[in-house]
Amino acid sequence: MSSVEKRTTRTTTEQTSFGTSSSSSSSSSSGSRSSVNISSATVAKLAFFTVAMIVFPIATYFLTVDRYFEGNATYAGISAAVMANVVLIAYVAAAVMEDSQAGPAPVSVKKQQ
Amino acid sequence: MGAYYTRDNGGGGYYSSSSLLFYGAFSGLGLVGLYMLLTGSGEQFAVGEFLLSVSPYMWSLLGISLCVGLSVGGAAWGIFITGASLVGAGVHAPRIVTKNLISIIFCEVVAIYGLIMAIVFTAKLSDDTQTISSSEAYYKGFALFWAGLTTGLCNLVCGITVGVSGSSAALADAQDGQLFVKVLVIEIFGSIIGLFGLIVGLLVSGKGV
Repeated sequence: MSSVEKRTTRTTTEQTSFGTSSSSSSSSSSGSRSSVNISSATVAKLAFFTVAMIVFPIATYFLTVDRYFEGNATYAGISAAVMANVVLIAYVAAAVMEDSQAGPAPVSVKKQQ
Repeated sequence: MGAYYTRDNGGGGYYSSSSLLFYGAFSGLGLVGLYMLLTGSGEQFAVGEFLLSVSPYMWSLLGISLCVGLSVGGAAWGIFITGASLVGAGVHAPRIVTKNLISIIFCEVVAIYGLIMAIVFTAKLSDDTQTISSSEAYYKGFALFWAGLTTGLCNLVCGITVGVSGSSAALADAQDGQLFVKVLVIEIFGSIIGLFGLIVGLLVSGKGV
């Protein structure tokens, strides 16, 4: 609860700093901006998995339906569903690994509470 | 009189407009049915003849459209709920946003299931070499219709389930970072039930060769 109050006070100082241009609020505003900052690697990873979630299952269906399953659409559909789950599990693994690299952020928030 | 006016919903009479419409439609249908029955042409009111008079292609295409439409509706509903909670909670805790995009991907997979099933149904529809009035064509039409409806309804409810649990995951992660994995496990269980409809849809549509 204290972190919420601290954030509200920080935003009020930012709002007042627009008119008064005090130098003391610049450090706090840069601190909040660094916490909002999202790295370009995260955005690239999200864009890759979004495109992969659409492209990979449908490409799996159309590449395997004639080449491996002799036109049986049921088996090709099953392989496409499996490919969708593979992309999903890959994104979950990538997100968890990225979260463990940025490790102490939730711990510090919990200590503030 | 006063007791009647308390039940009035603004229809301007003794009955509300909706109940008047219901009674009017019911009595009109009863009059037409009694007239057809008493004049010797009651056999025209046949449900089975209506089902057989509809083309099997109609049933197949209706199943395909219901499959992909209901699946995309469920996925959109889930992304709507999850995204609203995620943006709202991300205002106070910006660290949760990138990690909770997993919930959005979970909702998106439901739409991909419906898309895959629609492609499979379309492949079964296009290689039709039989005559349109054969029993195999009718069986294929009914099988594709009910397989599409099964897959669409399962994906609709699964999308809502994943969306609501993903919303809870975002709110719980904003409060305590250790709760995210626990709610994510429940979300994975919710996303698995969409696979059941996909499996049954594949089995039913696979029977109608």
